[in-house]
Amino acid sequence: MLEKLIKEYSKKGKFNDYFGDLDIPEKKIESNIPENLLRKDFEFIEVSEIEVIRHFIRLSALNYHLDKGIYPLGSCTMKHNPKVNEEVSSYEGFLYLHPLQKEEDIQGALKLMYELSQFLKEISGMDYVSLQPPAGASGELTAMLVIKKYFIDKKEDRKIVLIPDSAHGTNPASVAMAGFIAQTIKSNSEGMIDLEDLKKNLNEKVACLMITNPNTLGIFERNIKGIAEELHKYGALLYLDGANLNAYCGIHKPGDAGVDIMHFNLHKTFSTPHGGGGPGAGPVGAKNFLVPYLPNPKIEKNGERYYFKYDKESIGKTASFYGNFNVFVKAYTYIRMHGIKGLKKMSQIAVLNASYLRKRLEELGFYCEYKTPTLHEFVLTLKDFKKVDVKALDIAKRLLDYHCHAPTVYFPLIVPEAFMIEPTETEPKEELERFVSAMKRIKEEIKENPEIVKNAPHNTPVRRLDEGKAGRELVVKWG
Amino acid sequence: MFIPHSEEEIKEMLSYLGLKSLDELFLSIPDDLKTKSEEEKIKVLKELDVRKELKKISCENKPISSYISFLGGGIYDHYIPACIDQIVLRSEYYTAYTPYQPEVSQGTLQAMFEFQSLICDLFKMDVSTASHYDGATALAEAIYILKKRGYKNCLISSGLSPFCWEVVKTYFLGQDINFIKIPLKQFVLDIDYLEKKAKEFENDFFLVFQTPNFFGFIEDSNTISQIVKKYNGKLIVSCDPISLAILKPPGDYDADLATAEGQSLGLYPSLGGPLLGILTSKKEYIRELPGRICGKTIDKEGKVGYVTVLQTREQHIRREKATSNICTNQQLCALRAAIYLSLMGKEGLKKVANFSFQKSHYLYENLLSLPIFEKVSDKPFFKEFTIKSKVPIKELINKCEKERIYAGIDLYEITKDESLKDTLLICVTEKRKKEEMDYFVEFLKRSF
Ligand SMILES: Cc1ncc(COP(=O)(O)O)c(C=O)c1O
Repeated sequence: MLEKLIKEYSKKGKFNDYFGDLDIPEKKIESNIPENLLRKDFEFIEVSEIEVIRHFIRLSALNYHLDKGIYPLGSCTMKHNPKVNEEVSSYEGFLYLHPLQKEEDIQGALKLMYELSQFLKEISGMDYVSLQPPAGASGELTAMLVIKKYFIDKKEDRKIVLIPDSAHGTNPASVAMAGFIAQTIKSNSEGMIDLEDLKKNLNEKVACLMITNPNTLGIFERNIKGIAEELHKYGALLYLDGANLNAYCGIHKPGDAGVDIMHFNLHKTFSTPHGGGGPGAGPVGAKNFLVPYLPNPKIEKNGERYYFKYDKESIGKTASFYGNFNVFVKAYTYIRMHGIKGLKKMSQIAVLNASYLRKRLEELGFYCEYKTPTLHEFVLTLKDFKKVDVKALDIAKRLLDYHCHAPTVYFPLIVPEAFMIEPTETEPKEELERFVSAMKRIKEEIKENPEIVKNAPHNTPVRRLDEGKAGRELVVKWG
Repeated sequence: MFIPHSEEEIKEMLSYLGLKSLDELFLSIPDDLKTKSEEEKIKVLKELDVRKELKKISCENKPISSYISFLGGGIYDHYIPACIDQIVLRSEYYTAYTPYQPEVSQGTLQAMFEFQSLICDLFKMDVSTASHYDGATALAEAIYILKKRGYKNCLISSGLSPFCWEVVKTYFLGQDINFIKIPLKQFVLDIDYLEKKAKEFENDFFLVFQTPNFFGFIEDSNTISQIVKKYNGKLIVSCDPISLAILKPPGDYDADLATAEGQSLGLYPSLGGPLLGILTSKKEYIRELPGRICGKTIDKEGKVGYVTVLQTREQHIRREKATSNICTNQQLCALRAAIYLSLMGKEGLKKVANFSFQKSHYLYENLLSLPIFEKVSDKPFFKEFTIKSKVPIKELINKCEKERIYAGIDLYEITKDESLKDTLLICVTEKRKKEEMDYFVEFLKRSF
C-alpha cells in the first residue's frame, strides 16, 4: 500500500473543532424526536486536521495530471485549464448564491448564463442553448427526451434512434434510458456513415440519427448536410454529439449543416477542468421548433433585466436547478478571453497538432485503420503488434513509464486495437516530440524485448492492477 | 490564448505537413459548410481585464454570505472548513481525467474508495457509487433500477423535494411506470393512505420517500418501512446526510436503496451546481447500480491498489444495455465530501447536526412567540421547519431582505399549492449565531 486508508489514522477522541461552543441553551434531542427515530450507534472515523491534509496530499501525488504533461486521451480534449478560471469562479458572489434566491438578487449570475448561452449559439449556429444538463451524457438524454416529447406532441409514434457503429457508448445508453430503441448504422471504408445502410434503415419509425462530427475517428462527416436532408424527408431529426467541437470552432457551425439539436461538453472544448471525473456541463442547443421543449427554466432578457421563463411544452428538468453553474463561470471566462477569432485559432492549432502528430507517428510505421484525413484527433490501430502478443493496452501502460498519459484505448469499437490520440492545441511542439520519442522507443522495445512492454508499467506508483480480482471479490468499501 | 507555439513553429509544422496555411488543414470540411468570417461579436478581454469583469459580474449578485440567510430547501449553508479548497485546488486532482489508467490515478481512485466507505458508514448501507450529478438524478437512477427489475408502481411521497420530483418526472417521460402520489397529513406521510396503496399494489410496488421531508419534518421511517415490507414492496429513501449523525440511518430501517443530495458535505451552494448525487444500496443491487464504483485489488507485486469495478455495467462496454448512460460524474465534488467527512469525523458531524437542531429549534420557538406566526404541524423536525404567517409572505420576505435577511422560502411560490399560501420554509444551520436569530426575531416584532 502506498498510502494507508484515512480510516487507519482514526483514533478515538480526535476532533477538529470548527465552531466552538453552542451560543444558546442546549435542549435534549430526545425530548423532541422520538427515541426510535434516533441513531443508536454511530461508528465513524476520528482524524486530526493535519493528518487529513497530509493524507489527501500524499494521495494526490499518486495521480498523473495535465499540469504535469501530455494527456492525449482521444475524445476527451484534455487541454490546459487556465488558472484564472479557478480564481474567478471562486469569487464569493458566485460561490454563495442559493438557487432559490429571487431573480433580482442573482442578476449577475443570470447575465453570465444568458451570455454564455448566446456565445454557444454563436459558435454552433443553433437558435437557443439550455445550459442545464450537468454532463455530456445528460445532454444526450435531455436531447432524446426533447425529441421524444416533440413526437408525442405531434402524435407520431417513433421508437427508433439510429446510431453509427463508431459512436460513443453514452449515445446508445442515453437512447435506451429515454425509452427509445437503438439501431446501429455501419461505417463505410472511409470511416464515415454508410449512406446506403442509413437509407436502408430510414423510415417513418425513426425519431433521429445521432451523429458525432467530426466522428470518433476524427473524420468530418462530409455528407452531413445530405444526411440531414435525407432524415428530414422522413420527418426524422438530426442530433449532433458535440463532444468534438474543438475541431472547428469559428470554422464550421453544426447548425448550418442541418443539425436540429446537439450537446456541448464545456469540460472538453471550453477548458473547464475534468476534476478526475467531473463536474462537467453538457448544454443542449436546438433549432427554434424544438426550443420550447428544452428544460425549464430558460433564461431570457428584457432590457437590462434577466429572468427565468417557463415553457409549458418543456420536458421539465434534467437537473435539480440550473445546471453546474460554477462550471459555466469557467467556460464563460474562457470564451471571453478568446472571442470567436481566438476560438478559431484554438481549433486550427488543435488540428495542426493532431495532424502533425499523426504524420510523425505514421513516419515511424504506425498507421490509422482509415486513411481519410482527420481533424483534432486520429485513431491508430495497433493490431500488427498482436502478432507478437503485444496489445494496445500494453503499449498504453508502457507509455505511462515514459511519463506520458496513454491515449484512449479500444474505442471506437470499429478499430481493432484502437489507440485514439487527441493532443489538443495546448501541447507544445516539444511535448509532442517527447510523445513521439516514447512511441518510437516502445516500438523498438517490442522488437528487442517485448516482455518489458507486456509487463508494463514498471515505474508507476503501482504495477498493473488485477481487475479480475477486484471484480470477483468486490471489496467496494473498507471493512 | 493558451497556444504554446511560436509563429515559427507553426510555420515549421505546416511545412512538415506540406501545407501553406492553417486553412488548408480543413480541406475535409466542404466549402459550403464553412463559416464566413464574421465580425467579432464577443468583447475579448485578456487575463488582466477578465478578472475585473468577472468580479464586476459577481458583484451584481447578492450572495447569502453577505446576508443573514435562512434559505434551505435542499441546498444548505453549512460550514466549509478552509482546508477543503486548498486540497481540491491541487492540480493533481482537478486537472486529471476520469481514472482510465489506474496505475497513475491511485490518488483519485483511493479517494473514491474512501468516499464510498465513508458514505456507507454514514448511511449504514452496503454499497455506494462513486457519485452522480445531484440528489435528484441519483434518485431517478434508483427508481430506474427498480423499474428495470419489473416494478411498475412507484408510490411517491408528497413530501419529496419538488426539485427531485421534477427531475424524476422528466427522466421517465412517456415511459411505462405508474407514479402514485401519497399525500401528507400533518406534514408527514399519510400512513393510512400509504397502507391502502401498498395493499392495492401488493408485490408490485416500491415507495420513494424523503426524510426529513421537503417541509423539514422527520418521517416515521420505521412504520413506513414495516408497511412497505409487509406488502412485499421495495423502499427507496432520500435523506439529508448531515441528519444521519443523529437520525436513524437508512440501513437501520431496511431501505433497499438510499439516495441523497450531498451538497451539505463541503460543497458551496453555487446557485445549485455543481452538486453531489449520492446513491447507496443493499449488496444485492451492486450489479444493477449505475456509473462508476471503485474496488480494492492488488498489483502484480501484491501491492494494494484501487480500480473501477464491474465496468460491464457501464455504457462504454454495454452500450444500450448499460445500467445507465452516466460517464462523467461529479468526482471532484465527491472528493470534497470525502475530505469534509474526514475532517468532521464522528464528533464533528454530531456537532454540526446537533447545532443545526438546537438553533433551528431556538428560532422556531422564538418565531412562534410572535403573534404573526403559527404552527403547521406538531411533528418533529431536524434543521428546517415550515411555519405559517398571518401577514402576506411576500411582504415579510421583502421587508426582511431590505434588512439584509433572507427569511426563508415562500412555499407557495415553489409548489403553487393553495394550501401552502403564506407558509415559509426556514432553515438554520450551525453557522447562524444567536445574535443573528435574535436580530431577525426583533426585526419582525418591530415591523409587524
Ligand atoms: C464522443 C463523446 N460523446 C459523449 C461523451 C459523454 O460525455 P460526458 O462524459 O460528459 O457525459 C463523451 C465523453 O467521454 C464523448 O467522448
